Amino acid sequence: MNGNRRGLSLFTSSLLALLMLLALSTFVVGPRIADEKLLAASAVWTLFLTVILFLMLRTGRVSRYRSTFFVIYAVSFVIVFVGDLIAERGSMALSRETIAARQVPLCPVAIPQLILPALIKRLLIFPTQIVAGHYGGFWAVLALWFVGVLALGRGWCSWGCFYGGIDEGFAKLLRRPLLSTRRLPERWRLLPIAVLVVVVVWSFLDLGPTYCRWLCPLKLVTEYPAVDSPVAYLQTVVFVTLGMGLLIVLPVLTSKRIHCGLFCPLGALNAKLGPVNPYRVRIDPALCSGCGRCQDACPTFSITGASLETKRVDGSCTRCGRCLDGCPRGAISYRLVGVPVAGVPAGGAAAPPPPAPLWRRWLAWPGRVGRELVEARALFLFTAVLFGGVLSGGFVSQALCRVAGWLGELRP
Amino acid sequence: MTPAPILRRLRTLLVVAWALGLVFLVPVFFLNYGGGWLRRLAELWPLAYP
Repeated sequence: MNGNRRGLSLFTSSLLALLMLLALSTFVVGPRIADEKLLAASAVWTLFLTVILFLMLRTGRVSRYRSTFFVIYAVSFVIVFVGDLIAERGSMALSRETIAARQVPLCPVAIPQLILPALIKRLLIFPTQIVAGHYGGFWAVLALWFVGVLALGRGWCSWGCFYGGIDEGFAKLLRRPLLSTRRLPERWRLLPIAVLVVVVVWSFLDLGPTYCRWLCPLKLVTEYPAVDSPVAYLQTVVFVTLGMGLLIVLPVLTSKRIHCGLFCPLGALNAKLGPVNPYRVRIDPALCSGCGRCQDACPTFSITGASLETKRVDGSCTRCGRCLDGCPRGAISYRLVGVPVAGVPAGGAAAPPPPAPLWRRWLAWPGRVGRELVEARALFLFTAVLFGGVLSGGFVSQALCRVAGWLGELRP
Repeated sequence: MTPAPILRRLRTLLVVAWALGLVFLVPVFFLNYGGGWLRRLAELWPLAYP
């Protein structure tokens, strides 16, 4: 049984892929790129994104293609960001001068702790520029994140975030997990909310970016304060331990995105704001057999034993599509909230209609394409690939150029 | 048609319109990215460094 996991028609898939090619050609390739190699790399990335959108729509499989995009995006971010830091400062370490000059690029994960001081005290407690700084400054990153959450909900965490591909990459290293998380107590799933609350309150009281100072494991792949005092030494021990554990060791052992699913405060905030976005991942009760494969596949613990009984996916779902691909009965799909599914009434799957004559099928064709174009899956995947594609464009094309340069140097 | 199905259809129409609007919001945002509106946004809610 294939359920909801049938692909869209060749015409609709091609039409949407063509639209994507046009949109990405405007935003990613663009006329502003003077360097020929960079232009070629942007064109390659644009073509790649167009092809994966076509494959997602045509085959009905999402995560295997998204995952490739996401891991390349994260690796490219690290290559370009760390490369820039080393070229600029000679190391990944942040000096006191850089912090005092407020020249630290703002990271989206830092956003939750900045909101209360900005709203109540009108203070920007992160050492970055308010408007035009490295990678845009506070307002640019805030607006980018806000548009992302509006357009994708917590889908930000599987389509827009440049760190998510790190623990996803490590989580995919082993075919089968060495450590099963099926019996993980429900209360562990509250950990990101606890981290969020602690960080927001602590930062407001301290008027400083406490998450970045004390907890953030992502400093392993970005920047960290120079170790020039006993406190900085302690902070380094904490972030290296958390980074190794949450981004590398536990994802490899459990095949889950442990940092994204159980720790990230931005992920928790995105999950809480997610309902403003109209997309949901739904389990069709008429098709679900309760086998639990989606629970095993879900990398962020958003499908639990309780979800299987109630057939409801938790709000922490990142719309990554792993459960859609993993369900043997095609019972899981993207939906628009409040929109009933055509052909599958609440009582069970509808009987297939009798075959219509050819002329009738031809007359019905424009209607079918129209319906496919406003299907939740088409709308969501188009928006998600566009958002992720534009965000990743600069990083991936620069990373491709740098890797090509390194390979060129290796040649005798 | 009774009011309930009409309301249901209206809701469907509204949600699809909202989703379509978001599809367009992403390109509009990126087209404006780096434009003067960010500065205007910053002026609307002025922030200071601690």
